[in-house]
Amino acid sequence: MDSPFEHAPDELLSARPIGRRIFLGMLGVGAAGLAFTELGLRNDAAGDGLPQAVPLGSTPIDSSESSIGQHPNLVTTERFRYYSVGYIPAYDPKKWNLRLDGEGVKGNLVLTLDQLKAFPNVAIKATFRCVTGWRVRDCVWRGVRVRDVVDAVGQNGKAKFVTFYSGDGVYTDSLTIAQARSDDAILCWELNGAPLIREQGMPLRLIYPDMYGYKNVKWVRRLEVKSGRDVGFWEQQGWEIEAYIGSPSTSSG
Amino acid sequence: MPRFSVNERVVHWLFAAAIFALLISGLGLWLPPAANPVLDHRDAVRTVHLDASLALLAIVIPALGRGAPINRLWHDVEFFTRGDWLWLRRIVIPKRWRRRPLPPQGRFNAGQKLNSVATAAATVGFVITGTVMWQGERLSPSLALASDTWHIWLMWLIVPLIAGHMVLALVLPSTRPALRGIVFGNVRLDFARRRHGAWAPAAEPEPEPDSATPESPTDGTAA
Repeated sequence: MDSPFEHAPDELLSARPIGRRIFLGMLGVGAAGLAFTELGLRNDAAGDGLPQAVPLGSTPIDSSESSIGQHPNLVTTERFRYYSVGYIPAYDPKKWNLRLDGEGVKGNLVLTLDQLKAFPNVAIKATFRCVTGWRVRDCVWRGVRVRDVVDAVGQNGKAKFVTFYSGDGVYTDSLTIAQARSDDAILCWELNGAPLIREQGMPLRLIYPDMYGYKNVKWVRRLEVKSGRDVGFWEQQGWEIEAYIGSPSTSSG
Repeated sequence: MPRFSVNERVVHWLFAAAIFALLISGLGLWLPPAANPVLDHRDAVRTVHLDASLALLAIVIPALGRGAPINRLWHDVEFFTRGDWLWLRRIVIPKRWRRRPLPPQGRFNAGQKLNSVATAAATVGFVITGTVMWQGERLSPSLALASDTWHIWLMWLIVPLIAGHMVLALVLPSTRPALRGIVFGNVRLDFARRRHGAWAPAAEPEPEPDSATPESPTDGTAA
């Protein structure tokens, strides 16, 4: 069999190794681009970490843009990536309810979504951050404070933690009672003026923007107020229970 | 005539298989839920994506070393001749307005060389950004997000390169004969002379009529 190369003309022998220069040049451009992107993101992160209260009734969101950031078909540089450790639970408005119970409250409470929405509404504008690195800025979440729901039945001396149960039957996570009673811990049904989509936790999810997304339980069906701490789904895999954004234990290992 | 050695063909097809597995599984990880038919199998898709990336490394790394069986291929892709630059300058001019013919090309034309170099650079970029994404939980969020962004941009770079490569190899009649080279190793001599004139052997010159040779009786009869 002939060699494929025996016919190479003399011109090839005087050719110059340009390919490796182009290759290295492209890698250099890519590395510089990656570095600049990272730097820009780091600078952005330094300036928008704190949630801001947004007055209700005048949420400055254009309705045509109301779904930006949460709409699954919209490709933006900042969009939610949706994760579910189990199946995405179906939502039946006629059957859905939220249950509040546990040794740390003085009674049980079962609320329909309309009953829940009757609590004082609040909105929080904050950056949503996933511990894997992505984030979506300027999310306006609308809902009710966890503490208002807890106070509807009243807590007792055993109220140290609140465990949030997802409707998928698998996922749970918890906050301390102090965290759950803070201004920023809300049970929300709306993002940027539009109802939560199914992948986003429809009809109800927890939002606590001080912490990474895995603390923000989706499809919330039950709150249990108790004296002992439950270790959440990802925390059983080794993730931090106190998943504060930017804390060394969550951002660097 | 022989164009690709067995080693080159094996590396090409293993690389192609790994890239397709990565692109398809990557789509399964990237597509939004409403358009994602494998949303419920995300863990399996992620496993396929990671395994395919390891397979890609297992193919590429042994092929990079000095003395690797496809070193000649790297050489042919890497070295650009004056004819390559002329070819690149003229190929952008529509054929009907081109005053001069395209210069003869070597085993690979300049476009194939650029495509190969860009694919190689993108592959390195995919490996780096993908590793950061994979281990993003252990690194800074901003670096993981930047890598995520560039991983997607690299996808937008490489998909047209692969699509163009496939159109030329499978669809266009003028370039389709090259396909048998990467499948069987050989291309037709007339195709090699037409598209890769600097590499293919020139046609044997027609023998000069020899007056001493008596005409055949047939010729004489025909004349």
